Amino acid sequence: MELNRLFVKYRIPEQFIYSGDKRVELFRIKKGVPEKISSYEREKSEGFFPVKLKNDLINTSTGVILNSDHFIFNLLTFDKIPFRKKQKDDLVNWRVQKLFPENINSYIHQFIQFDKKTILSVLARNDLLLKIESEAEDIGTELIYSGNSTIEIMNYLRSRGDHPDFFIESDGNIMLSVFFKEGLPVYIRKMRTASGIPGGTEIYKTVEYVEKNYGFKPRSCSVFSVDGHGEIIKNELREMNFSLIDHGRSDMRFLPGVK
Amino acid sequence: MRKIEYNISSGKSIDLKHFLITISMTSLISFLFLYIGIDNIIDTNLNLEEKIDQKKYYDTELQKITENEKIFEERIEKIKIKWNRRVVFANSVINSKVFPFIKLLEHFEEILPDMVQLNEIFMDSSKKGEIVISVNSYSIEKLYELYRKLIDNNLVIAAESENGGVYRSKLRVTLKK
Repeated sequence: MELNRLFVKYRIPEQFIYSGDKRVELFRIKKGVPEKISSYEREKSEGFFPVKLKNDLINTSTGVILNSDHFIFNLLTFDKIPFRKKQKDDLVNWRVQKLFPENINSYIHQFIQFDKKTILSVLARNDLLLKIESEAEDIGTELIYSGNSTIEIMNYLRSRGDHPDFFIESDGNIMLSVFFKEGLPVYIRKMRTASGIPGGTEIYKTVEYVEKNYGFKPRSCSVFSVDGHGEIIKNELREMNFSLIDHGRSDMRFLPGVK
Repeated sequence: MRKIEYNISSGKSIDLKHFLITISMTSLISFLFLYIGIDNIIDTNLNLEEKIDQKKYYDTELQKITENEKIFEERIEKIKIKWNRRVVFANSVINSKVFPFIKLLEHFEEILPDMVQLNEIFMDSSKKGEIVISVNSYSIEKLYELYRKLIDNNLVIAAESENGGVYRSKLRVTLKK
């Protein structure tokens, strides 16, 4: 265990901007309870934060949550992960570099270790961070938190007892499914749908693939959606006889520190 | 389950409250351990000193016992010698008791003829049953009669003399049981 992680914990901001596929929303969190302050359609010409948002921001710590469109996930399994940080970093970087066609130095590479064998590698472009921080300055705020919605949802699920076999995160044209076996992520699939509503067939195909390749039959599912597609997806899943676990506030579960 | 932390922001702000609480708790626990450690060391030192004192005391006691042992050994040796002597004496007494001198002397007195007087009797303890006797006789026949009676007792005539009709004779005989 790295000693600095024991002492150093970073502050969770009091207001969060969710910059989604088609919408930008502002939330404020008070004692773990989120409140949606405003929600704006994002014009194609606009960046991550519409200028209108400036009026809704208050002078407090701010964070941004981006959806998985800006991130590249790789689930890696090892026979044994070294304990020492440097050796671990070298091994994971080497493995990711082998899988990834581009130079990973152009990316912010962080990884999350789940157990002695499983690592989730997350890549985000260096210029993404520069861009969102510069845009945040333009609307008069400074970001102390730049996170990812999928990881925050995984974090939320890990803290609960009723962990589903998989979850679907839907935002505009972006859909992502994460499958868990015995509480560990085994498969992640990111899909971009043209219509904005993912087809049940695509979900079913993914489930079949997991069933064939990972030796278990996913039965339970949770849906987290920031657009209006949540209910449509849930209905499709019900038709396919999946048992749905409803966590409540499913349109806000990507916010850190929400109870 | 440990929380996943993913925050790529360059302006991350440290949670000072958490930091101070963790530092305080860690310091408190460290001080507690330090205190327990020091207390243990002091206790160990005290115990050690106590043990050293005890060792010194036992060493002195051991030395005393060793010295006493020598004294006792000498005493035992002396007692052994004394008892050995007593045992030897006791054995000699037993041996003496086993040989009934008095009865034999009574017998000797019975066989002593008339006119023969017993002047001196001397028992030689080194030679078992052997006695030396001096007799006076007013008759040479009676003296010869005594000689005859004592032939079976390994009679040895050590000395013989005559003075004024009195015959003196020194005889060595062995008394039989």
